[in-house]
Amino acid sequence: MNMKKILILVTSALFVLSACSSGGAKIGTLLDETGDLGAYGPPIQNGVDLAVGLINDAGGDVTVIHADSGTSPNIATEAAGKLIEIDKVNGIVGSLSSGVTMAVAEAKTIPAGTVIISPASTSPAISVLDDNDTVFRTTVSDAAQGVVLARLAIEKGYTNCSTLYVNNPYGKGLSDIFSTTFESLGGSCGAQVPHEQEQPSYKSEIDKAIGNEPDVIVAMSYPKSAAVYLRELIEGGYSGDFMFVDGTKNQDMFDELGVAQFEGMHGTAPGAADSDAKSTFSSLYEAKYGELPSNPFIGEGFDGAILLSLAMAKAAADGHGNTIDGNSLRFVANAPGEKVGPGDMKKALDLLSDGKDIDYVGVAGDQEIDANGDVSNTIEIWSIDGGKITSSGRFESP
Amino acid sequence: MKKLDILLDNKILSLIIIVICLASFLKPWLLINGILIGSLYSLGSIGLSLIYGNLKFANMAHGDFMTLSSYIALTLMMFLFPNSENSTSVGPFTFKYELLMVMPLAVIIIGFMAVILDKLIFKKLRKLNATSAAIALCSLGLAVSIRGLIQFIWGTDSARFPRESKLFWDLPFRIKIPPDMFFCSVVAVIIAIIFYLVLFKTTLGKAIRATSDNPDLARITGINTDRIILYIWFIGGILAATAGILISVQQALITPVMGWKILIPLFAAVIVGGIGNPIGALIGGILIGITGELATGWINPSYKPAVYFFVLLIVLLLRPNGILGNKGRQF
Repeated sequence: MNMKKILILVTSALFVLSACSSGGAKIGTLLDETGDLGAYGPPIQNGVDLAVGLINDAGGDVTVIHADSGTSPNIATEAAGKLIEIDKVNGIVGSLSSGVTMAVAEAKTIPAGTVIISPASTSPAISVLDDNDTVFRTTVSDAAQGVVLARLAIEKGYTNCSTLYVNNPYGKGLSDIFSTTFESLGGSCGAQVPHEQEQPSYKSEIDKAIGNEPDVIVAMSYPKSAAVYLRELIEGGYSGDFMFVDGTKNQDMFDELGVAQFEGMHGTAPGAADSDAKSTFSSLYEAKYGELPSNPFIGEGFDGAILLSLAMAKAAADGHGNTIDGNSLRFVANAPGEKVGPGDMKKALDLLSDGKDIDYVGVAGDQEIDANGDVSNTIEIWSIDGGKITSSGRFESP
Repeated sequence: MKKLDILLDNKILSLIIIVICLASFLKPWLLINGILIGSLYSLGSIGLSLIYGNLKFANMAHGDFMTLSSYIALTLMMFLFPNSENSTSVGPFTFKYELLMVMPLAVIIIGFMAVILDKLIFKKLRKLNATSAAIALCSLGLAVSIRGLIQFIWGTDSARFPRESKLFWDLPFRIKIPPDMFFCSVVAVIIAIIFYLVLFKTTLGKAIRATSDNPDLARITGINTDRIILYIWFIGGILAATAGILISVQQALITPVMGWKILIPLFAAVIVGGIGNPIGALIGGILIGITGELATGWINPSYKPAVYFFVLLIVLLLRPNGILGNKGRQF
């Protein structure tokens, strides 16, 4: 009996202690450990841990609480509720899928006024979300890719194009922005043809796309569907060129179709030029985890956590506790101010406590946050050169 | 073919047929696409129709039998003929001679697998007098398990049979025919006719139909109904495997979800054509293919399924048992 009482006392004491363990700032993550994108989440969590480790080594006091968003709006919304209401985090890094991020924002973070930064959601729909300036991202919107792709098409001398796009927000958004820009630059876009994923044949869709004899067809799909229609186009006698996007940037697909047929053709994908920030981040990541950050969006996750931590330091310096908003984020992320990179956290925190302005230059880009909460990071232009997908070394902003 | 005359008498159906003819006249290349793609659906739906009609449940695992057969054929090919990537292809088609050798092997493996699955699962369900809905749900579980097994063994990446790229046949009126698709269509027609003859002109067919109509009565007349059911599964497995391999040759791609993805048009084809009739499955598949592809000429191609389900709705409203369905049968 006595034993039982002690046990209850000890557990409740532990519970109370854990609830008020730290007076410092808290960052929650809402990344995918399970579900379709389950493979992408854990390395991004590592990126966030690395960022917070750097801040704490420099004299900060930030705790990270990881939660699984399960590539599912339901799981993620519940997890976000726990982060906000029980853990009382001051900001969240997440989620990956655009649909999940939007669901979490609308159900939880916008009503609670909590800042959320997505490292990977690229849908243009997030820009126009009615969010009271609380939803941000460190990755570039697909709107930027469409614009850069259209400019590239004009530069390569194409005048008449068609698009074949996967019938979802990703494909439709890209195709719309690409064709509008292409036409405003003087080209003409004959057909924009949506298609369902993974069908046995796309003959009729192709007939529609080649109806106006385009000199280039842009493949805005995922590899398993594009493999079918690209082959049918080539074997059906189409002799024009192709252009590609991040969804069709897949070496295996080109190899199976016969990569020689695509030699010299171009594509785009979100990407940042090699920079001091990027190489500092890579070596720090390798030192901590024993491997290079080769998965996508790790740098974006790292930048998100750094921006949240710096914004909290700014809020603390201003006497607002750890409560951050769009203004404190833009203060640390945007020019003017002294430029700081991933390796300068001590300097950044010192400058902030002295009341000076800083401008964080991130791993995934300059991270200048605009009025919609978007960043204008760069789009990489790549081509197929010698049978391999090769970066042209050109990184453009829209 | 009296039943077709009855269909032509109906005003609504005549109207649909007139619309289809007009659309085909305006864009003949879409009609050809429809026939070719429809015949791929026919190919898969003949086996599905056989099982649906005679064992009286919707076999959700049919699509995954198709996928599994492709992976087994691919593995056999890699194992028995590691150099097939460099060998010559058959006539005007893209596939290699080696495929024709491993295909019967893979097809028979799937046939026996279907028989074994019946002994392990479906026979027990029949003994428990499970409803057809319960058996169909069980086949759904089987479908998910087979797909999981495929992803576990072969991974989630796509694969393909060794092939030699060939240009499509270029005909007037913007009509282009992929040689492989033409091959699939011919095979679909041959299989439909053979199984129509087996089912309606042989004693085995008579026994199959008797077993499906009334198992008890069939048993009394001396038919070994257990054996007949095994024959049905074996033939169903063989048909699924043939369709699976030919479709993956045609699309030059094998993915773990290919069979599952094609299952909805297959069911539509079976129901439109009349459950249990091989010629019905052939006609149903081609009708669905034609209406879906013709519609892409005027509306967004991603609405194809909506178009052929609309056709399905109309056909069922006018003929609740499908175009060639037997009036006496209830499902």
